[in-house]
Amino acid sequence: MFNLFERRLAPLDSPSVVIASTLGSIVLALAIGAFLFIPFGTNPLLAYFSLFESSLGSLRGFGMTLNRAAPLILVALGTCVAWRAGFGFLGFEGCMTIGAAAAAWFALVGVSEDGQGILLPALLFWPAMLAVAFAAGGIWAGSVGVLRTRYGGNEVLISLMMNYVAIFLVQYLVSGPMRASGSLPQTDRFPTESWLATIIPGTRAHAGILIAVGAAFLVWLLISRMRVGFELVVTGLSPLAARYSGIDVGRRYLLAAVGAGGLGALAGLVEVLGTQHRLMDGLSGGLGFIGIVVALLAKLNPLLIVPVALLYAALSVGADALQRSTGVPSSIIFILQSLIVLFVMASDFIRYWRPRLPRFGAAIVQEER
Amino acid sequence: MDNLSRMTLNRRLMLKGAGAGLGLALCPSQILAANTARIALIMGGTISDGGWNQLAFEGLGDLKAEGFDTAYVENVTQARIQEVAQGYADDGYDLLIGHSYAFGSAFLEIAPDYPDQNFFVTTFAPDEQMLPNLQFVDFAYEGAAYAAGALAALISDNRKAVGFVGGGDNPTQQAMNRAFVAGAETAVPGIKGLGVVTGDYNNAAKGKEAALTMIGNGADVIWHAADVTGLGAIQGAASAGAKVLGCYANQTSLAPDRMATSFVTNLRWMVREVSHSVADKAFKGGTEWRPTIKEVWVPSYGETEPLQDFNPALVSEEAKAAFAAVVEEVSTGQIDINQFK
Repeated sequence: MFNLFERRLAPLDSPSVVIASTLGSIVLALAIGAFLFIPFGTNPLLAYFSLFESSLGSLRGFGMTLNRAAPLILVALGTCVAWRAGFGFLGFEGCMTIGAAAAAWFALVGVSEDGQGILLPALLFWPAMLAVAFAAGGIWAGSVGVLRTRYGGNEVLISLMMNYVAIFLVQYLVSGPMRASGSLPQTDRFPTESWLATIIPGTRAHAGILIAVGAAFLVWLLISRMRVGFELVVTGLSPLAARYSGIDVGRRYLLAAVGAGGLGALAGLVEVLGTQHRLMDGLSGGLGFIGIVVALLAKLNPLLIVPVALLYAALSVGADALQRSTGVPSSIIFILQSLIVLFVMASDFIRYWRPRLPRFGAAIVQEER
Repeated sequence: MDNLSRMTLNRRLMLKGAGAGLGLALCPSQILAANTARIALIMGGTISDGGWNQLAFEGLGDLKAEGFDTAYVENVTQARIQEVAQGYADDGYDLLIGHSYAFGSAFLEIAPDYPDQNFFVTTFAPDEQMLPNLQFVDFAYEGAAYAAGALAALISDNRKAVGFVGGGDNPTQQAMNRAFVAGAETAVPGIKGLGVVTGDYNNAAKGKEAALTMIGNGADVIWHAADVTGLGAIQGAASAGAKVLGCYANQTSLAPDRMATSFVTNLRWMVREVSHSVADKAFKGGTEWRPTIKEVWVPSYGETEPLQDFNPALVSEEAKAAFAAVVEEVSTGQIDINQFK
């Protein structure tokens, strides 16, 4: 057999190569995905056109894309904080659920007597709301951090399993103590003052995207401009080296866990106050895992996360619209998204390896032997 | 309020623009036949569940054949209902059918934003409010459950207990549970009516577990009202040797020897009826449609046409007669079904 590839002496990591390989893999994934439309008698080009037209081509679609992107950005940022520090946290579904529950509790507990408004003035309400949700998620994920640093537990397994604990906890809350009387397992609707405000008139775009973009900026500040962030990254690159240079590795893990959990909880807050306006089961809907994928696609770079999440959100908004207009099953789009993820992940390969054209003379000699 | 109406206006204007543009670009030659409408069916389960969703989907298929412009979406979870329904409403569908109890509260919230479009939920009307463009239907679930409980008790061999497997944890299923138990215990004094509302429509393993638990407690006839969860209940019960009753669709093929009958709901007819009422501009928004139990629930048995009503090997003539009497009592109102709600 030939060795078709050989390792490059130095990986190609100029921005233009990264962008070209990423775009190339997206186009390749779309090209392969085009075959999926054929059995349904749909023209793939028209389908792709209407996919992006419906999610980015109209103000309404763009608003929905922003809404879909906001929780993805927040979960991806959480992934960035945790994974950069070498803390393999996978519990974002749980954090979202807990954050949503905390936000729901805070939105409902502060309702005035007549059930219409909220007691706190808006200027106090929103910081307090964000703090409550962040703290709830931080404590939830922080407990995983404690188990890891104190007792050496495996954070991947524990955080994954704690997702179920959180989901069942919220199932219990909405079918028991927080259930609206005589209705589905869900809470009462929150007072309108506690909904995230619409930011683009005539669309459903809510302020969640502002929270997400603000958080992206803060995480970028933390990771690339602050000492604590530097220590986090060093811890992630080599815990031993970090400890040798005097960094309290355990404390950094804990910080990463709390930060990731808090960001995940904010994603839950955005969903519950922006979209559902009431707490119910199944609220995270897999976003806690898709967010991790987004972070990986963005190579754990907090600023890249925003455009990647927007692209991902546009794909899923477009998928829904496509499903409505053509009746093509939305699972096709899921396959398409998976293809894009796989191809973008795999595209790193050509940055590290280069094709080695077989020299025919040598090959023939080998075969004769 | 002012803000809200302006928002709707903007959205609709934009939509008209976008819709016209898209229409020109994609389907210049599409002409709708007279007296049809654009119908969207939104379901919480899959169209191949062999029951609740499949029957409604068949109705949608009939409409499509008649020239209606139809669309459907499956597996919409409670948390996504609002978003999905708004999507279809924004796309300008004339009628949105929300096909389960879970759609009621979400449709109540969004229907006022779309005053020119119609909404229909296949569940009973809520107490609080009615909207001029939103219709509900009373499916006489409690009546059917009461009759099914009676039939189960009448065909029980050991006369110890009969069991009900419910789906999602909602008031309809809870009421059906109560009605089933009451129907059984009234029809055969001394028998025990059992019931488990599993909390899930789509989990066959849970259904099987619930059925086997009740069989362990003496039940020898199992009925369900739980879609895919119910499929598990039927398979579990039949393999444990109990008699089973199907629900929503004709489920004879799942357990031909152990199936006494299936309570088939005429959802196909219902979807057609309500869609035609929209097409004919006769949609009765703001009301609760009340078909009779005989119109909506049809006992059916057999895998080939012509279908029978009951499995003669499992249901005796006396049981049949006693069951018919119970159905009569329920439809004439001699038994107050509302007590179970």
